[in-house]
Amino acid sequence: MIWVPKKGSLRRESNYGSAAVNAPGTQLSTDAGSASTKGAVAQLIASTGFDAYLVEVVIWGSGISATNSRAMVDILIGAATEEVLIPDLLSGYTGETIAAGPGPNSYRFPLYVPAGSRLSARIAGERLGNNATCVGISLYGGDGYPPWHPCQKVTTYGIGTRPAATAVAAGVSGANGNFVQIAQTTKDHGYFLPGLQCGGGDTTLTVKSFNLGLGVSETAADGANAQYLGGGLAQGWCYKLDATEHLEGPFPKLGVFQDVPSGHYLYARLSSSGANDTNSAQVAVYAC
Amino acid sequence: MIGAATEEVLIPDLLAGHCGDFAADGPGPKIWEFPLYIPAGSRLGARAAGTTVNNSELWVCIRLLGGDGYPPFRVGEKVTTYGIGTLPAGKACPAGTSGTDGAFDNQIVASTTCDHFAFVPSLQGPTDTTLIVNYRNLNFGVGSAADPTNVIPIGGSSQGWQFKMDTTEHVSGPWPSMPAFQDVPAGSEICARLSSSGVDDAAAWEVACHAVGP
Repeated sequence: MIWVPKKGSLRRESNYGSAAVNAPGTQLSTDAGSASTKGAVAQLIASTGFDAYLVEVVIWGSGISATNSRAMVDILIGAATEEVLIPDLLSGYTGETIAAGPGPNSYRFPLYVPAGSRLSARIAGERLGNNATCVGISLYGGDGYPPWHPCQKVTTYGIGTRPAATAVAAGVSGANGNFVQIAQTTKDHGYFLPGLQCGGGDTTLTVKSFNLGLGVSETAADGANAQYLGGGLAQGWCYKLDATEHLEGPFPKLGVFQDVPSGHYLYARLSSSGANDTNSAQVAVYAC
Repeated sequence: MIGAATEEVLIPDLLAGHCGDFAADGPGPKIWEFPLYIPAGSRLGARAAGTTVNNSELWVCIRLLGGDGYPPFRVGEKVTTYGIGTLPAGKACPAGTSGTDGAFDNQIVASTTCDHFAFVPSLQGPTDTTLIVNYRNLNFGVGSAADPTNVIPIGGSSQGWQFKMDTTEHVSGPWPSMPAFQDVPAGSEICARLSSSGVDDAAAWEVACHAVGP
């Protein structure tokens, strides 16, 4: 039988309004007492309008000049008490809409979200009791949507004591760093996307670009033999960091589709266009 | 561009003005995502025109996604760009200010030249060298710019794209960056509306609409 692509519109639903405002999407508040504790859950969408197969999350505003701002956002599904759909998106140092500097961080996942779902979010971060972070979510689906294989939940690897992730020392001035082991996978996965935030404990950052590559190996502590996910050196993601202490990226926004069985080891490798900051940037890997 | 010299233009006139600089403070790059078919063995190239003449600081990265495992969604073979004036100008679109929608009264093209199924935006700054920190939302619609209240937003009213610009005179975006997928037949009028989170700059920002067709 000849396979014929579906036709028709790709529907989109989001929590953005149609006008530009200083706080796009939904504002989140960090906990007032602990950087490791997620703040209150905020509803993003009360009831989704169609079956969605692709989700893009955009996070703005966690960063501010000369301030430690590591943070992590959960995307949740269902009525209270909600279930975590995407845990611990690295959200530190994201750009502000109303100040000079880089823009937001974005994450894109081939996730199935049934029609009628309630979606919400919450944040933990080093800026205590702060509500500057905004989350935008866009759902894509409907009759005309590409029938790729969607997953139902995202697994996050590489998270330490929140809001810390795995420190990855970057190669400087365009050199590649070594592959650093992130975690052993606990499930079969077919899609991978990285998260990156600055190392924290350093409030004076320098302008640079990062290139982040992900690798996989069957054995632990085998970074030297890790193979790039996506099949080649070119499958990296770029980020921009500047002296306003904000980070924007990744570019491109799509992750890599590759089947990796449970029990394999994930690695990350980082390259910096300039000199490194005092503390290494931190990486997490999202897999589904 | 695609093919050996002389090449054929595959995607014309991406508005590349005011892209962020990786080596300086300010927003990052611009990004465009197209559902396009590129045969194996193709040679791809790029070229630029700009008001900063004889400048070699513009960098282009291209990533192709495909292969056996790739999702087989609908793809086109060529991009048509609407809204380009005298290069490198796009279509000037005044924005609604301070968080209010502009109107769909900015005609990008009176009559599209072929059927399209996916739309991708371009936005660049005006001829104004002192820009304001802002955040803009851009929508495309189908209908008459002379009757903006009856223009139908492509992809629905929430199908906007956000861009960030700041006082370093750079702009990055959009977020999200997925195209708007909607079948629009040849002969349609395409309009744009733009809103700004704050006071608009002295001159209107410029828009182009890149439409993918079979």
